[in-house]
Amino acid sequence: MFFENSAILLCALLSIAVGYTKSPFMSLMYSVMLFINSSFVLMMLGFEFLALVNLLVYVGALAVLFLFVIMLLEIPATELRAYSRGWSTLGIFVFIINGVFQITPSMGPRGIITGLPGAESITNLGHALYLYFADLLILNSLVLTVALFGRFAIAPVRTTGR
Amino acid sequence: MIVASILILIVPVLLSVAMFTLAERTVMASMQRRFGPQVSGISGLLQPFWDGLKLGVKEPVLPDSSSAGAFAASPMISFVLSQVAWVGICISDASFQGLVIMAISSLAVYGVMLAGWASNSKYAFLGCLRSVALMVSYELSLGAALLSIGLFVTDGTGMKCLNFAEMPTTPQYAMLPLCLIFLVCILAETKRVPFDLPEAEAELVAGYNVEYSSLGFALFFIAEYANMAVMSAIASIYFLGGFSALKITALFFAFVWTRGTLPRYRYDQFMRLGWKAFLPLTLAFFALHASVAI
Repeated sequence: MFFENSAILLCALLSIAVGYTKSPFMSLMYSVMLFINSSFVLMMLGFEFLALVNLLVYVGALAVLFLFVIMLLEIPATELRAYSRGWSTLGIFVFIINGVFQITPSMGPRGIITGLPGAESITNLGHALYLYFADLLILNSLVLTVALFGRFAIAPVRTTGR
Repeated sequence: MIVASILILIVPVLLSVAMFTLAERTVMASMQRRFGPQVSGISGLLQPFWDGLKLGVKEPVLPDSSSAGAFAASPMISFVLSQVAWVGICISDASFQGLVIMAISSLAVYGVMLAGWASNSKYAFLGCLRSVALMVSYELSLGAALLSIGLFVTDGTGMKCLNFAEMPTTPQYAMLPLCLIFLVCILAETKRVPFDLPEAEAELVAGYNVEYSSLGFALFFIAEYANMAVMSAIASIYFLGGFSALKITALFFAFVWTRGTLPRYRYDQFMRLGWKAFLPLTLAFFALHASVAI
């Protein structure tokens, strides 16, 4: 159990590091490590096919695509960091304190989830994800929406006349 | 016990890589009607070991403006991934063996990319961009070819799989077009001639590993030959009926034969080949094999 928990903790730390580093290249490298870590967690849960397909698609294609974009376009690194004004450090601090002292209420036990007998692992994964943990899935999608639209808010405004 | 099993796997792989380098020089030489290495040892058998020793005692030149972490890490990534691929063939009893090899070759792109980017030199960067584009493009056709094989083979529980133990033990002639496409895609994945523009000696001054000297270069070299051996092994398992040293050596001879014969593809030519020729062909074969049970 220690192994799984430490892998998931590493997931959390890497995802914080993605947003926290100054250079976009290191941010992408951390996200590559995050993809590999998520594939590892999936493998520990028994979803081997999904883990390997994650590796193939996310690490082998998507991250390479993002790396091409970053390497071929000049992205000024220091401007992105200047907008944070210290809130991110406070956020990480609160996260760690919450992890240690458990200030915010966490999710209660969901009861025993019986998988469909004889089904393949992906069927059981869909069963759990879309039926029992559907509210967490929707919450995750809200976070993703914020990330997708929030980049417009933090991108520096280009004034007329360079 | 673990150390013994590691050594039993890695030492033969490294020995075969050393002998492959010698074989390549000798076979290329005889194709060009000259002699290969003949001085050290009987007909040059000690040549690879002296070469390795020479690379080891050379002075490692670390460029000052390189990004140190990625610069040091990329030969390690390439070498470790090539050895892990050999473990994936020889030792594993995993469920998805072919898919493991595909995933490892997807990860091998990063060794090249980090090497070119971290070298902080224009030639290395160009080499890395081109080779990443090359490897990613030809991986698709490789995966689609394996998909077609996976349609025919079922494991003990009836699920379709790509496990090595269930592959047919005789060469399958119905797969011959896919075998030819697979062999060309292997040439592209390992960046051998005619796809070696990323490390073209004349144009790009050895491409992405131009800033590496001594053992860093040796690790890239070993990783390239070990990758070639892994891909030959995969081709012989899936298409030629089983894992045998004779078949792997014959495929390696075909690699060197191609090197001695063909000129180099230009960048736009091999991108066209990968996306407009091989990918539609392999997908069409997949559709054919899925619809008509040949």
